[in-house]
Amino acid sequence: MHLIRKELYPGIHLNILPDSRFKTNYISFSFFTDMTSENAAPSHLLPMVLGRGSQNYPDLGAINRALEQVWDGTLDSGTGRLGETRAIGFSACYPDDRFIPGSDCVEDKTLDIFFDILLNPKTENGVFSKEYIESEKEKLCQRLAAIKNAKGKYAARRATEELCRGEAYGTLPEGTVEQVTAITAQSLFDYYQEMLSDFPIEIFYIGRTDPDLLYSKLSLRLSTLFCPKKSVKGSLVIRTARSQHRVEETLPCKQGRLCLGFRTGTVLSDKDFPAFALMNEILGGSPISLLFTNVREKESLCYYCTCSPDSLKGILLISAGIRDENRKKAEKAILKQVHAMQNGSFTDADMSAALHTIESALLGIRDSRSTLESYLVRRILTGVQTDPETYLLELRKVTKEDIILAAKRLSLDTVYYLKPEPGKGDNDDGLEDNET
Amino acid sequence: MDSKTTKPNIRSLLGEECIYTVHSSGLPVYFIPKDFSVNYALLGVRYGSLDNHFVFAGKEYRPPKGIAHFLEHKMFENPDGEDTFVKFSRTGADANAYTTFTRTAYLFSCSEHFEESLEILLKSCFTPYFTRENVKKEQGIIAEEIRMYEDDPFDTLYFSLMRCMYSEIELGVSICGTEESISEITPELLQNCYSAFYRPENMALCLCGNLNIDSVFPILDRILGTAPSPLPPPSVLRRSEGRQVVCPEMKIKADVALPLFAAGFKDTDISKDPVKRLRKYAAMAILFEALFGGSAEFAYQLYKDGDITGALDFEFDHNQNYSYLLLTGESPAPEKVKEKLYGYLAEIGAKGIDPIRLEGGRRIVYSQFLSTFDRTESIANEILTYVFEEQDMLSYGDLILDITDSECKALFDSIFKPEHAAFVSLYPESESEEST
Repeated sequence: MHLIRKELYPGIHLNILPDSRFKTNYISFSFFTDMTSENAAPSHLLPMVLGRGSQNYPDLGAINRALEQVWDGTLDSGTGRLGETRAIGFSACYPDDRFIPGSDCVEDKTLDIFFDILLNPKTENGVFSKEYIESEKEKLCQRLAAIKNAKGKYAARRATEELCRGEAYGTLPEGTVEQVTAITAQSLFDYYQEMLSDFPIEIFYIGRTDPDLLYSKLSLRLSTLFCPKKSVKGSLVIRTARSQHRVEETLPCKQGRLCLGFRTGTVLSDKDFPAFALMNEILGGSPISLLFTNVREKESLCYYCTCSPDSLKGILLISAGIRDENRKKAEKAILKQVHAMQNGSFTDADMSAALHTIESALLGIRDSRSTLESYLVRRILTGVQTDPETYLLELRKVTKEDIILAAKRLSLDTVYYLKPEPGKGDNDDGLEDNET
Repeated sequence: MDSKTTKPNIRSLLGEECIYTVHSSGLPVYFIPKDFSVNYALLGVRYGSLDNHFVFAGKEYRPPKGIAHFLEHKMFENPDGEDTFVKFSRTGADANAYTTFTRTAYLFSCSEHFEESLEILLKSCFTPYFTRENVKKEQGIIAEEIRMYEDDPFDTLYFSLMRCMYSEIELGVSICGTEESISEITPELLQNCYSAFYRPENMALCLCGNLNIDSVFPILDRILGTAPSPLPPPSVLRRSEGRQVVCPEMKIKADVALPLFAAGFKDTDISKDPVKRLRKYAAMAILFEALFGGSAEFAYQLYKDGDITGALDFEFDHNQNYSYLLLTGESPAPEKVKEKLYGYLAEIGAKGIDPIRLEGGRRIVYSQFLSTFDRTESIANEILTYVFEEQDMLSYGDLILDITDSECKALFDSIFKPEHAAFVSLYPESESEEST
């Protein structure tokens, strides 16, 4: 993989992956800061407000009409987390000029719009528009209220909060309604200025533009961001569960949601991380994993039983949607598979299959820009080498004993269960039918 | 576009090709060469949840609802007792399957061992294996899948709207069926459906990637044989659907934090000519983008006024079997959205559609078509849709840019009539009837 990494300024890096196979080009900017409870709400609100309008494109309609004229470049933004590092991201994906009738200089025009939104927001009296702030605050609060609509995701969020209670990772990702409501045009604008001046930035570009030309263009456009950056400290990793606790909630729904939260004892920067990756794959990464074949296929206890690690924080969530009456049985069945890993009750064929799956994914990683970016940014943040070929060599050296040791480092910390409310959860059809 | 400008040849600008052959068994094979690391294979069957009443070999069948999806779940079980996913694990392929209203698809992607993986896929799909034990086990799993979807308010919204719009075509019935209907499924019923529909001439194999296509045909010879099926194909019996909707409005109480809405428009004007259908599909794509896309004043105004909390989503389909448009979103006041929507459509009907918006729609639809070619997965899945509609995917780019404003105007007049419209809203359990 040919990754060209250039420093635009200390703390601002441009990662270019020249690739002429796609018909579109892609660029993304990620701003990083340490995750705190206080910066949750402004970190989520900021990209929403920026996306409402800029000096030259003062509202959403103007932005969309401008993008339409340049053949629908897609602009995206959002806030996520990488372990306990908050990432505020902005990206653009747009057709390459070669495939546009009339060759409309799509890249330059799309980047004009993109940078106007990012660096030249619409302001009133030197701060963000009050109308936009209040409107987006209301929408963020509505989004918070709607989290319970997706029961599986809600259960996983709650399990994570309980697992990491008292840690930055356990704070609400978007903050609370009170924190959102308290944001003002001035406070958010101050946060925005802080993002531009202090937060380290990683830029990814995957496309056809000449790397040197891109470097010069971005150096020019981003010169106002060239000031000293504050480094991020990374995640607090608790290697072993300090105690076990159980949490149960009841909501109107048809299916119970069981989540088991573990401390993994392994993170991405550990030399034995490849063993953990294989262990996770054998345990729950595929339709031939121990969880899938036993909890779902053999015992018919669920439709989904997923294994979701966070390799920067060192936690793992096993989640399943189950019938309420099978709750104890499902928990026992899941833990049985974890113990099977710890006892070495998996075969050479299981190891080989897990390795093949990860190999295949790594060999094809360049075909998916989002997967590639996610793979690289985690490694860049934690100072781990980035080349997939080298990682593959490390995976191939892992032994059964290494995998058993990785499994033995798993410790159960939290069991969360979302219980269906008895008699509820049936959506009543036809409360009012208006016949013609 | 200025009609006097020489129209570009988009097919040659794209530089893509699709190589079509028919194997001696009757299986059509479509190959799209792409220089990507991930190769993709998809075997599609013209059999979906709507094909639930048919005549085959002189007998009439009305199997239980959800049987096409149930059959899909069973195809990866084999007489040798080894699950197909286990077989794929040896080649590192990532496999999956899905069922829609009109088709079933079995697929895999891999970076290596393509021929071995293709052999596994084909052997699984052409070796039916249904037993009382494996059917009983699957009933438990699919029952959990059904419950998972029943907890999703957007699922409830969609199927409720379909029931409001359609009386004869069963779009309002979940593709999975119900817990009751799947309990009636037996190995014999599965075998009947399999024999009727899983025939090479009723299927299509779509391949995409950096492949040696010549290696595929000996595999087909070995597994499918070289002679076509002796039995005539099944005849699917469909009832004719009237133009009017069943019920123009429905309000449902559900476990949602904020109300959700869905507005639907039914269209029964479907040509039997595949080229005319594709042209109408392109015109619909452009028209709906111009009316409801991001740059249309309507969506932006709803957002600005706080009538919707996020994006106004729209989707449509126009195929041999059905044609509709639906708009969905989250709103504190769905009644207001309905009023504004119908008002907006009346205004457009009177004043006409801005040609600049239609040109913008063309550019967006073209750009979306272009980005299809950036993943082998999207190419193979899209090709299958075109194939089953008897249409040429590579002609679509030129078609988009050929659609005229007057075609879009005529389409608007035919689709947006009050008797073709339905509106469904989901309200939180806590809201009183008066407040709705």
